[in-house]
Amino acid sequence: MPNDKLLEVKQLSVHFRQGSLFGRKQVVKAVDNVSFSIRRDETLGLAGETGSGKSTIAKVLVGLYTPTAGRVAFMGETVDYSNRRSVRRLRTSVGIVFQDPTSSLNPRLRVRDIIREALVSAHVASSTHDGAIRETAQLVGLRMGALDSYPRQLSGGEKQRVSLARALVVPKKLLVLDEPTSSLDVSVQAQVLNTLREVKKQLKLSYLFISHDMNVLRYMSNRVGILFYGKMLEIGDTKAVNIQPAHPYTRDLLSKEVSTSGFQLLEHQPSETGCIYSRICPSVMNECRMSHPTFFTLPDGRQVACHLYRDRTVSPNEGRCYS
Amino acid sequence: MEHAPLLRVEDLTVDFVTLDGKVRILDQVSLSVMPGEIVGIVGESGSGKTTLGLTLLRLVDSPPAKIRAGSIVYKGRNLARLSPREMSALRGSELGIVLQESVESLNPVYTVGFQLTEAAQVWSKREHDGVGTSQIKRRVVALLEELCISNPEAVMNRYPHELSGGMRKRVAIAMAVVQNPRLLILDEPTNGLDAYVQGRLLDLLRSLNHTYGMSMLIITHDLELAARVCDRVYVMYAGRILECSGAREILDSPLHPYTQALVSAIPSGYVDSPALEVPLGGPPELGSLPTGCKFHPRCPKRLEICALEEPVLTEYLARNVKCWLYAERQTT
Repeated sequence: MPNDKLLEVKQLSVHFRQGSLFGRKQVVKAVDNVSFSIRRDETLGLAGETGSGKSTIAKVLVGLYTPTAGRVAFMGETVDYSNRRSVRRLRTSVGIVFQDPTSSLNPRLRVRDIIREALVSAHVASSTHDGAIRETAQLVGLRMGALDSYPRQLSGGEKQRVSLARALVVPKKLLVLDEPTSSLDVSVQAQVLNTLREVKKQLKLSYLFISHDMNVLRYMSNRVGILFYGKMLEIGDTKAVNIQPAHPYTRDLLSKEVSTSGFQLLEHQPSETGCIYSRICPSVMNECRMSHPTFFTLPDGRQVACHLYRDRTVSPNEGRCYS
Repeated sequence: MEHAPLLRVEDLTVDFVTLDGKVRILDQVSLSVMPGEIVGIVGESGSGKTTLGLTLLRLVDSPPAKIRAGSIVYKGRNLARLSPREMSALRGSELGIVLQESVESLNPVYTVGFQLTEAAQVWSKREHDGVGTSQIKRRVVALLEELCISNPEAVMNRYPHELSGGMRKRVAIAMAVVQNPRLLILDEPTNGLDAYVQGRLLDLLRSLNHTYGMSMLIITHDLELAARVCDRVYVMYAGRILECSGAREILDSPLHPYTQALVSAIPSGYVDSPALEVPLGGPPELGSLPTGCKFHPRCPKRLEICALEEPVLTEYLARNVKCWLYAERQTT
């Protein structure tokens, strides 16, 4: 069903020009040719390490960055990033919660006013503000006493609930969550994750959930996409990806064993030519050095950008033997 | 086979004394680290684990901190009694620490190479009556290579702000390791690093432990992480040790209800799994602790006695746990 898709991102690229005033300009491909879609009621997880482009995608979806190329369609309507109206429309339906609760809340405003700002900028009649704020606070599990405090008086978990309330006080269709719990203690994280699942069910929201923690992604998302230096390497059903990771990088990401031998490079270096992962890949073949693979669809509907699956006879399990 | 612990802390009690009154940060904390062992200390924020790490090296400011009771015995010497001068001779050479904010432990106006060489010079003066500059540089480069920094010479010429978080963390670790301490204390070594770099860093710590036989005390809020890299894990709550178990047991069969809560709070299962079980509320204020067992208001398994009297750390199945459920005088 095509209209089942709430959000569709096609061949999205975001490039930044970097370099000093006099030095040669360099183009950084933060996001390169990434496509995915989010259905109604669905949570899509995005995994990847620092620099994989996860946060850049998040910012494009709320109109904070303009794509270099590609198409973003929300509820069947293509977003025109050069048109302020169009971006505004996107923002009224898509909310965002950032990673760092401290830097994303204005320290000089009381919590109540932080949440109110969202209502004001959406031109909601001021007579309804107090009711809406109270209701949303209740929904996200924020104690009423917190509404009159300043952000610094709140714990990390409470601050994240404030961010959530601010994102949701104007009704949304899609919520972008950029590492919402990575700065929290394990027990607080569990509380916030439970709340997020509860809120999603109640408001029938869709989530784009960004995290580097595979445990969290498993717990939260229906489907998951694996990013590596701006490229999507694998995307599909969370269970399938976890049980039989297809891409060598996904396998690496999911492996939990602590090895005491064999030094590996701590920070991944993407390959300039051929497959972006070919420099590190344990299953590298000749053609990997020639070109970056296109997507291959596995029998379970998953998409993998890896030459190992070119002739679809190789199942993920057999692929494992290469490593 | 050595059987004497490298570090033995007994009944360490630390107060913060301020004008507003005193707050007990650590209450009768006892722990030990054997030579070559990796020991973890796990707890939520505010449980006193960072203060513990700093106190072991006598790095907390006094005032406000005051060691009320207890001993920190390292190689037969009680660190709690040493003079500042004696203490500073031990720091770096015998006892190293990697602070939580690696950014803060590096000087922003010197290159990484300068700072590392400086640390290495201290080491060489002490152990080899000073060796040549080229030799020192070689040692630093070798160490950085071992820490999986791909282009050490280039990294040495950079300033801390030019490095990524993971890289800075490793430079901070290198600065501690280059002095070859017997015991390295790491406060939240993987904080702010993504899962992949985290995993590799743990590998690294393990291999440093293997190659140099360096003992480590890892302070973290992540029980899973501690269980992956440590041999033994202590669980802290409200400035107290609630449980001490082997790393595997602590995840597979946690004894204390608090540890059980920490384990069940680790996200597990898929999107259709039931909600995570989490204890209500957050960690208590150290200034106004409940009576009896400090965890009892949040404990799902509390008994009558829990609110009245605080249990002591008792041995149970060759592990240590501070909970009435496992005490001999258990009445149920």
